[in-house]
Amino acid sequence: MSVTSRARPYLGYGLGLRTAHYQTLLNERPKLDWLEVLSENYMVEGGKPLYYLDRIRAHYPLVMHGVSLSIGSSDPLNQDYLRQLKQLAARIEPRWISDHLCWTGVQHKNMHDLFPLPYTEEALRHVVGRIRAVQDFLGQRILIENVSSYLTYTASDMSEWEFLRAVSDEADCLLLVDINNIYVSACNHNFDPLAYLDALPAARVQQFHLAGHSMNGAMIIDTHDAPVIDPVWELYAEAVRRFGHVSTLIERDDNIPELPELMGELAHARVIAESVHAASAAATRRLA
Amino acid sequence: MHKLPTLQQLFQYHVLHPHSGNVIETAVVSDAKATAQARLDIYASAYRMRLSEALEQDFTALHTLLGDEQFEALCLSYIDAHPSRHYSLRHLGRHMSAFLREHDFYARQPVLAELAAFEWMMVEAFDAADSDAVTLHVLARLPAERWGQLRFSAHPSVQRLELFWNVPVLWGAAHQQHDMPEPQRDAHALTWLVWRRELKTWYRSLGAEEAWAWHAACAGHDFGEICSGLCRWVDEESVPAAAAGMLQRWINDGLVSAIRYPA
Repeated sequence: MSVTSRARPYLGYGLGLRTAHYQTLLNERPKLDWLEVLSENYMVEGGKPLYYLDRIRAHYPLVMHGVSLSIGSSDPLNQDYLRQLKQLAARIEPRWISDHLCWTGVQHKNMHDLFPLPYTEEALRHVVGRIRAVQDFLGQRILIENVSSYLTYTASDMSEWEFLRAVSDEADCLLLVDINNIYVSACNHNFDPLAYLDALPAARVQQFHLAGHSMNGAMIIDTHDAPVIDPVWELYAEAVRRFGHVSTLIERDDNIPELPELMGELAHARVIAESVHAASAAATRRLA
Repeated sequence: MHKLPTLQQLFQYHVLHPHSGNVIETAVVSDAKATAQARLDIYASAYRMRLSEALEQDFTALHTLLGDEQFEALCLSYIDAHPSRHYSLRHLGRHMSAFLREHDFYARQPVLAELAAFEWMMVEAFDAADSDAVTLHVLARLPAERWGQLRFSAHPSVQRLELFWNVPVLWGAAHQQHDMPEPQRDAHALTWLVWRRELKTWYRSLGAEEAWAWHAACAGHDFGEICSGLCRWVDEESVPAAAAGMLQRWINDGLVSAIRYPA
């Protein structure tokens, strides 16, 4: 299957679905192109989470975003988790399913964090095999997201972007590019974020995440609890320049403001992307 | 160089036991920005903070009763004793009541284990399986001669527990942000039910006879057997009315999801 053989689905500009916004979404139906749901929050038997999800999905396209697939763990894939994931997908019919290029625990423990992998041939083989197994089980390609990280392993013998590219090419998966995570990791590890973007396979980039972060001394921590900062917006413009129309999502997990504030940030993303598209179109016309 | 499984085990061990001084530091790059230790510590402290926040959400009243400092200490002890083994943080607090009951220090305040059990039942009821509740119309349509054979299924969200302490009062005060009353213990335990009706979580106490009847109904006894059993508390001639009154209340409360009788 060639990734370039299909048009990239494009949803526009969306937000992460959060409980604080359930009522507003149902009562006021704000103009949002799509919503991203945290898969694990809805892998429950019943009650409020599924009640609202079923109703909200009648009005907005949804995608599923997970945090516990633990695709890089040396534990076996959690079959119970995969069954629940597939069951939720059958219920809400998401446009796509994503999770992170990371591991969350070993020895059957879950640290509920997105731990970085060593960028080695061994880890590459391991992750590729597991993504293929997950995609076979789910019957669809998944999106893999780059994580923010605070350390590198001495064992790594390739860069994160080389690793991510190799993973996506060899597993034939798609990419969720978190612009903020690139910025955070670039600051924490002193690399050029544009080199990262340049290395990614454009045809596989299906979604962007944008988020805020916090400072912790010399390090930046990916807290998702603040507005997107200007350097991240600038990097977003660079990503749009390289990858074109890519579904874009503002991700806020803490200090969650009222919906209008997040929609303001989303409008800003739209202005940036449209100005990049307009400039690209003008440049193309000049060349013609 | 460590193989991936060893590297991950060492990393995780460091997160779980950050002061153990294991060899993971040599597997992590130190640079001018931060040492390997400082970089690893970001993960170790974030782990405790994240899991403590999850416990705080589920045990609001326990937090209020203990105060910030003691609750934080409890969270750290609990997280060490019961690391998450589930893909969802939703399940993290499931051992809290047993932990408090069995821990040398916390067991000296038995109200804590009871309060944790009550709060955990709220968590369980919140997202338990959905099921339609039986209405009084269904009961009204049943042939009178069948009543003795009726058996009942509890709504999947219904939880039952015995409490010696004034836990629901403490819980209510914490959630309404009132001053916390003094914990008080009764000589006898009272049975409480916690359940979800539509999207709201409810709780109420049961008298001794209703507690017995509910337990019997959940154990599969039919209405006739429940009536016979109620003779321990109620005059024989008053039993049918008393039992019918209980059943009506269970149905009005949304506690019953099915009524069955032999064809």
